[in-house]
Amino acid sequence: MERLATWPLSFESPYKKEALMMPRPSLASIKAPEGADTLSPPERALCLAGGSLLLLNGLRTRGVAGAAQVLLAGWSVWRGYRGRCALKATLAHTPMEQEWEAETGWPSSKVISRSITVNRPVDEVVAWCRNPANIGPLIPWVDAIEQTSDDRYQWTLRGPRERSHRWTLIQSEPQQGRALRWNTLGDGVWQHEADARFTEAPNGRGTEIRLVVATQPPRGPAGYAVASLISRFSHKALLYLLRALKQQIETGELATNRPRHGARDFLFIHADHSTDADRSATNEPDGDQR
Amino acid sequence: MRALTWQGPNSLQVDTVPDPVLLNPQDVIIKVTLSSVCGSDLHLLGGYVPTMHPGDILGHEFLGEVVEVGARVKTVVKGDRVITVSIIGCGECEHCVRQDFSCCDNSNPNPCVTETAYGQPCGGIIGYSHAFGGYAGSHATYIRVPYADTNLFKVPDGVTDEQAVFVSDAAPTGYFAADNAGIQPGDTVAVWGCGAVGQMAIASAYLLGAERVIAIDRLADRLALAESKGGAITLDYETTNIHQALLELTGGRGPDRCIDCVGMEAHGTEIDYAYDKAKQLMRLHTERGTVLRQAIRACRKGGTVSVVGVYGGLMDKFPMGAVMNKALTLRSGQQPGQRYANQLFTHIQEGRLDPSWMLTHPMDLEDSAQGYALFKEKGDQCLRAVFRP
Repeated sequence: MERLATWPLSFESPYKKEALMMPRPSLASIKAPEGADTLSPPERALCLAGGSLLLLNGLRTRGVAGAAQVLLAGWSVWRGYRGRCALKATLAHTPMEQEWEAETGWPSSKVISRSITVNRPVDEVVAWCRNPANIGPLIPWVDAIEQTSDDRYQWTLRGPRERSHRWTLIQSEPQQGRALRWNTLGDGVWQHEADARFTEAPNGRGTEIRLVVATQPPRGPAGYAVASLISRFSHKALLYLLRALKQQIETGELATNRPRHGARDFLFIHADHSTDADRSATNEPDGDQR
Repeated sequence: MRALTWQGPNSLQVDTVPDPVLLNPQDVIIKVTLSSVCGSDLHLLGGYVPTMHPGDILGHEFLGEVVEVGARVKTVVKGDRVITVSIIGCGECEHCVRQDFSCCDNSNPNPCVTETAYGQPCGGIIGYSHAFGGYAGSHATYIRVPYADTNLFKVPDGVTDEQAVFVSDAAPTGYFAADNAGIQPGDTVAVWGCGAVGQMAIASAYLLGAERVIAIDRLADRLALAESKGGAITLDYETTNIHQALLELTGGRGPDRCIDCVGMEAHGTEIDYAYDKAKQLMRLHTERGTVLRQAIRACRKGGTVSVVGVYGGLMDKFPMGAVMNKALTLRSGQQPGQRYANQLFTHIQEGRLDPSWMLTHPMDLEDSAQGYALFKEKGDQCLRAVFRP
C-alpha cells in the first residue's frame, strides 16, 4: 500500500506544464483540520448552561474553591459564547492522521514526520538504509539488532533506568528502491510503523528522505493525548536520527566533541551542556599522549 | 597541557587541562604554534553569545604543526605546518560542495541550539560556544581539528608564521566581505571597523578592484594603520558626521559597497547607540546595530551592504524600509575560508598582501588573560595579541 504518498486531491500547476497533476504532499505539520475547534450547538448550549450553574455555585461557595469554580465557569461560558475551543482542536486528529487511519484501518493514530536531504544518489542511500546494522549504531538507545528471519529483526532497546526491552520489527520494501517500511508485529497495544520514502532532490542535490512514524495509541482521546505528548520528544529524536544518518552517509562519521562511548542519552536529548562543556573543554581526558 | 579557559563573563584563566585525543578518523591533533585573539571572541568573553560554559577553551585563529593524524586523513601528515579555517566544513554536504563551507550541515554536533534560534542549524566553529559545536579552542598547547582534509591548509614556502596565522580567520573574513560585496572596478567601498578584519577587508577591496576605500573607526592608531598600510581615506566617527562625510566623498551618491566589520557591539555617538546599549544591558536584545543602520542608510541606491561583523540574535530598529526602497542587496555570513586560503597564500607569496603587521602583541600563553584585557580595552595600540603556547 502506498501510505501517504499523495494528498487525496491532486492539482494542476498552470506554470509547470511538464508536471501536470503534481501530487499535493501530505504534511504532518498541518495541525488540525478546518473547523476542528468549532463546537456543535449542543456543546455550546451545554457549556453555557453548565458554566452558568457553576458560576452561581461558585458565588455561593465563596473562598478558594468558589473562586476556582468562578474561573472555570467563566472559561466554560466564554467557550460556549464563542463556539470555539483550542483544547478540542488539540485533541482532534490531524488531516494526515485521518488519512493514515483511513488507509490502515487503525482506530486511532499519532503520526509524526521529518525530512532531510542527503547529498548522495537515491540507490546509494536506499541501499545504506536497507541494512539495519547501519541504522542501529546511530540510535543511542538501541543496544542490538538481531535478524531472526528473512524480514524480521529483534531490536533490543534500552529504556530509562537501564531496563532492556525487546521489539520485533518487520522490515519491508513496499516500493523497490524508493521506500522502506518497518512495522511491529500487529498484536498488542502501541503498534508502530515507520515509512521512509526516497526521492531525488531537485538540481542533483542528492536524495530527499521523508520519514513518517505512526503509532496506534489505545484508550481513545486519553491515549491520543499521551501519544501527542510523547511525540514532542520523538519528533526531535526523529530529526536527530535523520541528521546522524545524513552525517554517516555523507562523511562516514558522526561529528562529535566527545567520545562515542561516553554518557548515553535517552531519546537523543543532548541538552546536558555541563557534560558537553566539561568534555569539550578538555576534549576528553585520555592521559598524556605526547 | 595548558589552555586559556573561559570562566564567566569577562573572566579568563590559564589552566592545566587534559590533552585532546583523536575522536574520529578524519581528525588531526595540532601542536599550536601561534594563536590569535579575534574581535568576535569579545562577544563570547562578554557573555553576549549564550551556551558558553566555565572551562571552555577560547581561540579559533591559529597556526601549528600536525602531531597526530586520523586513519582517513589524506592531505596532511605529521610535521606539516598548517593553518585551520576556523569555520568547520565537512567537505561532503550540499553546502560544502557548493563552497559555502560556513553553511555546513554536518560539522556542528549541537545543531539544536542554532536551529531553534535561527531556523536552520549552523555549522561548527572552533572555540566558539556550544551553540556552534562545543569544540575546544586554540589558545592551548594542542587542539583537535575535525574533517582535516577540508579544513587544514599547508602553509607554503615563503609565507612566514606571522603572515600565515591570519589566513586562518581575519584575512579570509575580510576577503569574503569584499567578495560578497560584489565590488566592480571604479567602486567606492566604505568599511566600518578598522580591527584586523576591517584592515583585511580594506586590502581585499583594493585587490578586487575598488577605486577607493573609506575606513571608519574611532581609534586614531587603527585609522592611521588603515591609511598607512591599507591606503584608505579615514573617518573618525566621534568627530565626523559619517553620513554627510560619505555623501561628500561620493558626489552625493553614497558608497557603492558598504562593509560592516564591527557587528553586535558597535559603538556610536547618536541616540540609537544609547538606546541599543540600554536595551542590551537589560538583556532585552542582543545587538547594538549602530553600524549596520549607518551602512544601510549611507549605501547608494542599488548598492550592496556586506556584513561580516558578528551578530547573534535580535536587533531592534532595523531599517528594512531603506533596504527595500533603495533596492539594496544585503549579504552576510561567517567566512568560508576554505574557498580563499590558497588564493590568499598566493597573494602573500607574490607580495600583494601582508597581514603580518597586524600582529602587534606577541605574548606567552601564560599571559593570555592579560592579552585579552589589553585587546578588549584597545590598550597600547593593540590590534592583535597572538599567543605562543
